[in-house]
Amino acid sequence: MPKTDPAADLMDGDSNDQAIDRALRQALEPDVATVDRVIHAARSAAPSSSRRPWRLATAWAAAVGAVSLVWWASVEIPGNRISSPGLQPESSAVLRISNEDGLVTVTTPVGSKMIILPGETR
Amino acid sequence: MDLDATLAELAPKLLRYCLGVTVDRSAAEEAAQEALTALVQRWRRFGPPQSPPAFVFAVARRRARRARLKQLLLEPLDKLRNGHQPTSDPEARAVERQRLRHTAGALARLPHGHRQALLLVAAGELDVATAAGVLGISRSALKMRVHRARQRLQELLEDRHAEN
Repeated sequence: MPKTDPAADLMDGDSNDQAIDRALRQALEPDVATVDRVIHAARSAAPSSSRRPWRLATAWAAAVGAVSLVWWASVEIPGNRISSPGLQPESSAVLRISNEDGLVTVTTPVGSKMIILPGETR
Repeated sequence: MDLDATLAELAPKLLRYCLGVTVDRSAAEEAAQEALTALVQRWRRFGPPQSPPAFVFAVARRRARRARLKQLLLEPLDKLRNGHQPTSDPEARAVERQRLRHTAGALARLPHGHRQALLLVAAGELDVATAAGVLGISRSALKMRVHRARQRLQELLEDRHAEN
């Protein structure tokens, strides 16, 4: 399709609706190679049914992984095992715990804290 | 109804519409391709939709909007990358870019609803009923939007021509 200046087309006196539409189409006209490429790509697309199980499996694995991670973090991280009013919130990562005759020393990156256990738990 | 014939008929219209929305040829191609792919998959699994143009333009409308958003986010990177790529025919590309830029500039000054209506009817060559269905508005509302959009676009293009 020959391309002309859309505005010039309008100024030639052909100012009806068709001229506006034509001018717009000319400005937005794709080339033949692009049209062929798009059609070919759409024709050779894989059926959607073959992609859905894969997506579902991925989403399911991600959900299970996220739940497992949260569970592991709440159970296995050492800092979460000990709760003491004397420990500051930022000292949750426990590096070392020593117990000498009921005198427990908890060492964290921000310092150490000694805890005296009640007699029956020594 | 034949799938290949439908694809051949819809592809250029869809590309024009997507280019009008995205103002970027690669983004328009991507959106149009995704919309046609959705049509092919739908056709092969369940048969042809009641109205293939309505189906494909409804999908294209969403995909083109997404592509436009993505393009706005990635624009700075694209400019950097394209700045180092040699062009095969710089003059022709410059003329084409200028034409698209002028039209896109005029389109951008239309209200969103008017622009969508005009692109569906003029660039996508949809009939009034189908275009109204894609936008979810009444036929009379669509006609009014298209009429006003044409008037405004004409004014803008004439102003630009007078300035040149």
